[in-house]
Amino acid sequence: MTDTDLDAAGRAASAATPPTPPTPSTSPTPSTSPIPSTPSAPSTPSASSTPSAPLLHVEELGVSFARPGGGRRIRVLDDVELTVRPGEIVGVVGETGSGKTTLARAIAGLTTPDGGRVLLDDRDIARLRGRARRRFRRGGAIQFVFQDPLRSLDPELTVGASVGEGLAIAGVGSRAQRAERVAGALRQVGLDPAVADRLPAQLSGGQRQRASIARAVVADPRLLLCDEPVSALDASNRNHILLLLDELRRRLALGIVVISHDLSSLAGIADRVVVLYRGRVVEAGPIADVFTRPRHPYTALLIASAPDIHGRDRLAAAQLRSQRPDDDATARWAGGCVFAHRCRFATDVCAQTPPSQDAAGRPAGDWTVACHHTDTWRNQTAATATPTTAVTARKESSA
Amino acid sequence: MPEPTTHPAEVLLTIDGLRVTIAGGRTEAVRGVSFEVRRGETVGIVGESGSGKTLVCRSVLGVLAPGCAVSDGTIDFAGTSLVGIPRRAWDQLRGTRIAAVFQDPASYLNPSVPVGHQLAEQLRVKLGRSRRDARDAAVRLLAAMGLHEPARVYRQYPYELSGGMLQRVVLAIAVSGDPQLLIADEATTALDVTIQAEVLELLAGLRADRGLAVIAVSHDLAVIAEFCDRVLVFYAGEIVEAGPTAAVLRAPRHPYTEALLRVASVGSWERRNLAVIDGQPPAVGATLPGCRFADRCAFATEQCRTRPIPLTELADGRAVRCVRVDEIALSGAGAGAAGAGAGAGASR
Ligand SMILES: Nc1ncnc2c1ncn2[C@@H]1O[C@H](COP(=O)(O)OP(=O)(O)OP(=O)(O)O)[C@@H](O)[C@H]1O
Ligand SMILES: Nc1ncnc2c1ncn2[C@@H]1O[C@H](COP(=O)(O)OP(=O)(O)OP(=O)(O)O)[C@@H](O)[C@H]1O
Ligand code: SF4
Ligand code: SF4
Ligand SMILES: [Mg+2]
Ligand SMILES: [Mg+2]
Repeated sequence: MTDTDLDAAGRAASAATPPTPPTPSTSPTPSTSPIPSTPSAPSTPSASSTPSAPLLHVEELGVSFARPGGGRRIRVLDDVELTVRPGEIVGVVGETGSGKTTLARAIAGLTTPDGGRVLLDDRDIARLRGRARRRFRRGGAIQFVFQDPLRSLDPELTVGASVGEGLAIAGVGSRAQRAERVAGALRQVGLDPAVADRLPAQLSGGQRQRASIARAVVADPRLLLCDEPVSALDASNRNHILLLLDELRRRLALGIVVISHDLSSLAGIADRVVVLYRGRVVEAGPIADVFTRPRHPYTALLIASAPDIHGRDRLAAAQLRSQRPDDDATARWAGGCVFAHRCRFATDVCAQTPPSQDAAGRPAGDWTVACHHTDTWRNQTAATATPTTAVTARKESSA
Repeated sequence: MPEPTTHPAEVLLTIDGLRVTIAGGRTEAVRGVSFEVRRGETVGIVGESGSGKTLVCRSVLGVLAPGCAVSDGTIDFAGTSLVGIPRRAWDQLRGTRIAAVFQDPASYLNPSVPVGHQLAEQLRVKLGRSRRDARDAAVRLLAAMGLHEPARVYRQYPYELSGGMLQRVVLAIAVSGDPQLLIADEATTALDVTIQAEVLELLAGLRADRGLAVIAVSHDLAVIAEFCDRVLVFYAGEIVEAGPTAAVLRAPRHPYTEALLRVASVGSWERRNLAVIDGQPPAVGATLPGCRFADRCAFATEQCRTRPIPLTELADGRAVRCVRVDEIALSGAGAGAAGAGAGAGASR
């Protein structure tokens, strides 16, 4: 794939001869979304030469928060890059506190970044202020879907009123026209338009989440940001909602960002994945490739830890965990790789120099890894790959 | 799955014909559930949201919410009946012989007291340790839960700890009285996967070291698959299939179990058509003449809808609630399913 998402002038040039990337188990063509690029995308005139110009391009994004007691601000996102094309689903994964929600909020303009750009159709929406910002917000191009649907559905309002609220506030059409659009949105998410008259409490958890997605799509957005939309649902309802997102991106050419802890079902619908660790992107690329053969030790640990009904071959989590106790980690490793304190393969260079996505070791294409030892850490797991369960390993190490 | 024990351990908990009503007795949400837990055994309960898993756990713990009650059946714990016993008797059992951890650890801790003090307090009250003794034992217990720098954690407040650390503290409190049975209701659901794997390993270690019996509840079959000796599949307030986890996963005999397997996290990283279970379960408390799964079952025939379906024991130690069990062919999780070891990511 061509580096459509990269500012070729700057970054790509600095990539030193990349080592041959491992052959992904899937086809070598990076997964492209199954839909043709949207004909209705109005503001991507240059899209003709590149079939899928980015809808959203986040670059060098930094976010920090003030400490309660003053002093140096807490850096929550650092140099984050993310690209979403129309009709593409990009997964964002990472542990609690890694900055996933903050990233989504910064994209939606709910948190002001202290650096970087959030380009929607090449326009930097992070810089909008005052009236321009309000107008952009009201336009509804970016919509949020939360884990708890009750955050977007008012328990006192009927489902129809909640779904149509945005349209009413923006003064779109007549009351009857709005009701028509609400019914259409409900149908679009697989609900009977008759649920418009019900209260959220009268719907099941899965139906409620559908209703909150209807509220998001009724405004004809370009980009949907879904923050753990299925974490509160059981497996069947989870898949129902993910399938719905898959269908919507195809039908409406929506770009969708899905934050999720459920790696396997996310891989069922997403094209690409961005792995965050402590506010930095440690790995990003086509999701099937990244999850099948992770190139960053943290991604590998994540994959090894995911529960699975098959006991298939994968690196045992215990083989990937650091053997050092993680006390006082921040002090010792400050300045180096964000994962060093938990990384089994950390060396001195990891402690001193933060690995960059552009450093030698970065594979070709759109699969990036920020690790000094991308190509060698895996060799070290082979040496210790005795068939021991994680439990026995843990007992040995604490004995 | 741990090696099957050659001689079965003594039965610790026996639940027989348990019925639980909600809404002040008008609606029956648990409809005649029976199962046993042996010493040192881990039993998983799996089933979709609203199937009655938590009500069963809360019945065993004697902590049903107002409006909910055990309306029928018996619960026997090591010779003591747990149904209708006075509050004081409960208080003596809870913490020392039966303990529990739930999804949200923070809500079980006092936000304004350092976590170590809360643990030490348990040790003093439940085990009658001296103040000094309790402190030392608490620090040791925190260390045993895999918390580094336990002395520092001891002094920290709940808000200073991450979700995974809090769940370890709650586990420390739960096992501090050396219980024989631990009930873990969605104990790892709110944790991210790397921490979930660590907490599951911790639970597996506690089971091995202390001979602790565990009832583990999850709506994710994959969590159960990696952790439990036996599994109970709940559907609409009933057990529809029960048996050794490996056998149930390899060859489910109830259509609902097969459906759960299809929607479970399968460790596949390919783009695919995610499976779903069409339709909705019957309304809670709905009385149906026949099989409660019939409306969603591809194998349903007239005979399924006419009379209640009993839970029938099969020759291989399994029990299935399906009249067509011998006529239908179901597919399992594949050859790999049988060998998943306790804890995450066992390589074989
Ligand atoms: N408004 C805020 N003020 C101060 N710190 C914040 C604020 N919002 C988030 N943080 C901090 O930023 C970090 C990232 O938080 P964020 O909510 O983005 O994580 P996350 O990846 O979404 O985690 P989770 O999986 O738990 O939802 C955390 O350490 C959090 O405590
Ligand atoms: N305190 C209560 N008051 C009223 N109804 C209740 C109460 N507790 C549970 N129920 C109802 O009883 C049924 C079974 O609930 P239970 O909590 O046992 O389900 P569960 O299998 O644990 O589901 P989940 O996976 O969502 O936790 C549900 O329909 C639920 O709404
Ligand atoms: S840079 Fe070093 S510490 Fe960081 S992930 Fe790679 S090997 Fe581990
Ligand atoms: S009894 Fe009939 S409806 Fe019920 S699970 Fe068996 S085949 Fe399906
Ligand atoms: Mg979040
Ligand atoms: Mg429950």
